[in-house]
Amino acid sequence: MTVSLIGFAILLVLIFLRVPIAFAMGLVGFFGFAWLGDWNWNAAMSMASRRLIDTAQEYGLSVIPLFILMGNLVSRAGLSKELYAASYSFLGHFKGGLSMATVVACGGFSAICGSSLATAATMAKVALPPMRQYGYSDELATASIAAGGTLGILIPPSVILVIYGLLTEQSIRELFAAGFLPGLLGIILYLCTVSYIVWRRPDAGPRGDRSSNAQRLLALRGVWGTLLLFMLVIGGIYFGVFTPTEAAGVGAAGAFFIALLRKSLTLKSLFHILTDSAKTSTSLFTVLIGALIFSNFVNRAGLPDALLQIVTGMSLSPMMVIVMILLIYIVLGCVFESLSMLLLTVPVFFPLVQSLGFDLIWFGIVVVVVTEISLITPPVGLNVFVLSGVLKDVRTTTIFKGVTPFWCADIVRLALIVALPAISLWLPQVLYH
Amino acid sequence: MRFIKELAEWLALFFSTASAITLFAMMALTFADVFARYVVNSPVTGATELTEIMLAVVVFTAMPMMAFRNDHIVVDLTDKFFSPTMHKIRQSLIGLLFAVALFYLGSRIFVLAKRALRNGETTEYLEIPVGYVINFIGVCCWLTALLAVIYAVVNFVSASLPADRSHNGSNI
Repeated sequence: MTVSLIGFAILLVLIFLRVPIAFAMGLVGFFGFAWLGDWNWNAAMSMASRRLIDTAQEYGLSVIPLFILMGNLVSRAGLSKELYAASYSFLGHFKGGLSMATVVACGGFSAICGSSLATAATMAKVALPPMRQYGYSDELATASIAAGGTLGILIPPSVILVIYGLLTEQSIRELFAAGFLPGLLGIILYLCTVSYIVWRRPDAGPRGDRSSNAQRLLALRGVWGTLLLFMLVIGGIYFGVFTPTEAAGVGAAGAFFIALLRKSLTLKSLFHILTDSAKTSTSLFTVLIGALIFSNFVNRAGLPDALLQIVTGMSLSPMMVIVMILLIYIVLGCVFESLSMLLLTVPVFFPLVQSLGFDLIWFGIVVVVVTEISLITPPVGLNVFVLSGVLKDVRTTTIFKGVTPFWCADIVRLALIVALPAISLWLPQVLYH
Repeated sequence: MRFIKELAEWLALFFSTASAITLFAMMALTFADVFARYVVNSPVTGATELTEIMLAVVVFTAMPMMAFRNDHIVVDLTDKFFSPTMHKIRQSLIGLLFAVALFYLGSRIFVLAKRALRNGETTEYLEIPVGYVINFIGVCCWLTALLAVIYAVVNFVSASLPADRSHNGSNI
């Protein structure tokens, strides 16, 4: 226990000294491992090298670059425009309707994209101009994109759920099924949040134009590409036609063909998308490898067992433990970016959660929801920074201010999902048991 | 100095292009495999092991560019406490440390590759010697180490701050 705590302390110091997170985790893990093994350098070196070699050749992980590629291709293909048009045609005439349409379109885009940042960045380009045109306040306009974008990692496909599944040896199919209803719940709560905001400040989000039924039908027809991809990829996984890797490959190829068909792809942009996806995957893999080396050390130091002993010694109720874990996540979310936080904590917490009798599929959804919250929590809420990167004229403080009600809605959602596991577990139950 | 920097840039670009092409091939292979299995009923032999090898290639060939551009995920909350000179020295030191780590890792990986080759380990269907793949990973580690050194030196001697693409998130 003490050894692991020292390890965590050194890790934090290194990270605050701006050592790359992946490298810091690998370094501490390596030296810690060597220390526990009476400074057997060869054993520690072999452990680290094996992690490097094996992780990079793990079949299950090939999902990651393929889903990232698919996300980047659908962003390029311009499917977001039709999604927005369709949800606008149904919601635009309400008060705050354009923000509502944004949230729903974000949810729809999340169903074909496994990344929150890509969802936020893509939707910003289509949803912001109309909101500005109708005089929406910058706070509401940007916050609905930043918050809606977080749904990207909950509604399947989700890169984070894939990584969680591989870390805890849970079925990715079930995790994807479990993320669906909490994602819908997220959309509903965000819609309520928008209504609340425009109820308090009617001028923040005026009504848009009402669409006729014919217009609605026409707009709905525009989302065929999204629907097709979703049915192919997620339907394929849900009904066991594809393994996740196959689904990701087919999805990426499908997105590629759709982008070709819509003539939104040039050789240059394709090359750009490919190098970008490879780069993102590599930085993800380096964090993953570093975290695995670190968790080798922490496991060898016996941290998960020690935690379990402490918890049983203090005779805490299981729910208390979950609440404490969630508080730790919310604090960590202020410092760490999503993936590093997940990789550092899940290997330590999941044996504990499991032995307290909780379902690991449910815990996965809970972890992803807290990760979503960390994406809009200052000071490092990444979704907010992505938005302020795309929209140069909006300050991050404005977005953070606007996002606060959505943050509260997220806390409500988290409480609901923790209190009612059926929200996550009902769909996998119906599909697979 | 300029020559070395240009050479490094060229090398990094070459390898990241290889990474991009391999990623596309991976997508095409998975698609072809699924298509062949469900439509023509004859799956591609060894698609799984090819995917595994390609994954390693995608990940490791993109690494030299990452080292050269200093394209790491970092926590930059303490940036305002460091003066530009301190920042520069710190970045170079971290780059050198990273290079040392990868150099040793690479050396160990070559030993593991040799062992795999000696034992004649091959993949199941296509019988590709596993040692070749491991060796390739080792080469990429060393190349990454080299480019990290070049980054550290270029960073240290140049008057202005070089391109620092470190970012605080994993883009997902």
